[in-house]
Amino acid sequence: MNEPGHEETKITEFLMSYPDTIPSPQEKARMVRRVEREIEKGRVGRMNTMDILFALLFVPVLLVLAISNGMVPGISAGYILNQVYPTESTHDILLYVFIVGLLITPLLLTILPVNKGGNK
Amino acid sequence: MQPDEELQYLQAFQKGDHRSVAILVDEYYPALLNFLLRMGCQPSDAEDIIQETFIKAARGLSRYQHKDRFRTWLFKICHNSLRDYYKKASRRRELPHDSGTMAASEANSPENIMIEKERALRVQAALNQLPPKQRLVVVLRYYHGFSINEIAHLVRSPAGTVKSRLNGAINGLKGLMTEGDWE
Repeated sequence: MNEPGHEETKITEFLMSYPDTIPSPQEKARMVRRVEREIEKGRVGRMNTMDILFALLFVPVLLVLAISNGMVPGISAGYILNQVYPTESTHDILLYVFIVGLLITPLLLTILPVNKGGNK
Repeated sequence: MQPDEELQYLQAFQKGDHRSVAILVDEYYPALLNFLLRMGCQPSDAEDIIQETFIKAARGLSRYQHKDRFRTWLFKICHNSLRDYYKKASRRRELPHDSGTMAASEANSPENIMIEKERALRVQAALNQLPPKQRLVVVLRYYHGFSINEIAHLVRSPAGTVKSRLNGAINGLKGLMTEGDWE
């Protein structure tokens, strides 16, 4: 009849006859790359949110400035700017900013890291 | 690894610092791999679960309470990921793995390697026959040296329940061991 202490020892021996599996250096290196890539993706995701927020704020501001200048003379941004900075070319500046905004925004969206392809 | 040293690596690890990732992977990958294989995972699935474990650890590091050992916390994440894996794979019953490099033994002759593999398969087969909850406590207790309290914390069960599962597992293993194992 087996004694409890003897049983415990034999069970431990039995379990320990299953040796550890040792990952190779290549497997470890692969895991390091996979983890780094995923951490980087997480960071890119956060950057992406910030970029979109920036674009969401930047575009309406440009549009409001440009449209209010042309369509609602009472609150014309151009008029306000003319009061603060009395130059003749304020309207041209606003138009220029608007056009530049229209050109830059798609570019900004294009250069976002998340739109560069790769593993997503 | 000393706790202070580990904390430094963890902070850098969260930012994806190459050296810290490499050090933590080097330190914990083998233990997590063996834990998952003994829990019956296929090696390829184990790799995915380990990757997920490290990523979750990096993202949730701010929630890590330093009163626990990092190892315990990491195993807890790994165990949760494993549970998700079981849910997904509940319909398939896979054979134990038969790959990987077994730890170097005293004599590495092809014959000894074969014997070791056979033994490993037999133990794995016995472990596979235990209910998952019992298998989990056996693996954590015997192969990874966690205390009853640590296991209780890890599996979110009272210590008494863990002890009871461990006793159940021991009794189950007794029935699964052959004559030769008792000699």
